[in-house]
Amino acid sequence: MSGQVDRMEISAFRRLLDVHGSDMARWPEEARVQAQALLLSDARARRLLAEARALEDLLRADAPPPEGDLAQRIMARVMAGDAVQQGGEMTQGRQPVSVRRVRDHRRRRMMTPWWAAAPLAASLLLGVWLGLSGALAPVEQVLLADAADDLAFIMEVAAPAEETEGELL
Amino acid sequence: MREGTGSRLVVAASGPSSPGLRGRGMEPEASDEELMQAVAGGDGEAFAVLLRRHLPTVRAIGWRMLGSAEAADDLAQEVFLRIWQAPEKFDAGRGPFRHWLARVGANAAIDRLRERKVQSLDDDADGGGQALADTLADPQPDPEAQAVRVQHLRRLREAVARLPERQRLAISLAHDLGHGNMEIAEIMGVSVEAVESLLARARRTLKERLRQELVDASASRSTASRHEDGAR
Repeated sequence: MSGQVDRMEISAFRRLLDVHGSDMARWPEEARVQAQALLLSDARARRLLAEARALEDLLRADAPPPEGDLAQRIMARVMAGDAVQQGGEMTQGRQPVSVRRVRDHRRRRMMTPWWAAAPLAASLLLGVWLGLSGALAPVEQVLLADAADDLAFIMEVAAPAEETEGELL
Repeated sequence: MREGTGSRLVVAASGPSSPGLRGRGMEPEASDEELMQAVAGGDGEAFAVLLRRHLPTVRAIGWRMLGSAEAADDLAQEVFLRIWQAPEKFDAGRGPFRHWLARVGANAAIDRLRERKVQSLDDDADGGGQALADTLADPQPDPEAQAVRVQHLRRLREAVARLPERQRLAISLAHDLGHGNMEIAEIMGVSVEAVESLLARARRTLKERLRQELVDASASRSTASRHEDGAR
């Protein structure tokens, strides 16, 4: 390659600015070299480049405002299984597997008869009496507390699903 | 959504350290395509990561194409709900997710523009009535400079709103999302030459319509640059 760079016409420079924008890293290599040479010698080229940069600055300044809680709102609709209009038809809502799993779990739990918790409740009452009487060691008292939690959990999942559905959102 | 009642999914949406994703061997840094595969299986946490990652893309398209934050937010909701409900429409063999997402967003925006035209031809006149001063990305300390900036942005929005849809979209993909001409061609499903033509016409039109604003902006840019040089 000789050191000589072909001269670029101002119209070609303008066209390249319109096609690729002011960031010359995006211009074809050969054109970039010619454009650099033109910028050094031609004030009109420098003016055109400044104009292109000003437009890009203006576009950059006109950015959307912060999104706020939009992502949370979208997730809430996803969790609720909201349907969306597509081409004039409503599609069926869809929920994440985790929500479906919790609901299935609740349904299965709801099928457990109430008396399934009765032996646990009876042993819990016995344990409470033992604990109050001071007959249990600290470890046994911890186990007793766990049993109380289990009972509370069983009672909670046996409650109608609608009562706790809101927790997922 | 009330604070403190969010599910694990929402926690995952608001931060990169989702134990749920890690537990399944899927880091939050997973590729978009991997996340979409999980979304197809009903994985809400993967969807939340994608949403966080790409919400700005769809909002940017909506903002430029529809002219208001409210319209951009509505568009983003519609697009992401569509993706959630029909993730199988994404085909990883046909290009990256972000190109597909931009295409879905662009198509939805164009649909809305067409609906809007049917409803009222006057709706676009002031860019959805957005309070420009509240939306400036670079608020000026000087009230006079701020007023001039607001006026420039108002003129810009008017000029952009009058561009044909495809030119407006090409401008958004190039300037708001930073895509190169080849990527824009892929997103819009046209040749690179067609994109070059769209962009060239759009930029030329904008420069003609904003000639005075660009001269002012250019002058204040060189003044600022001289001040910076002087300060050094």
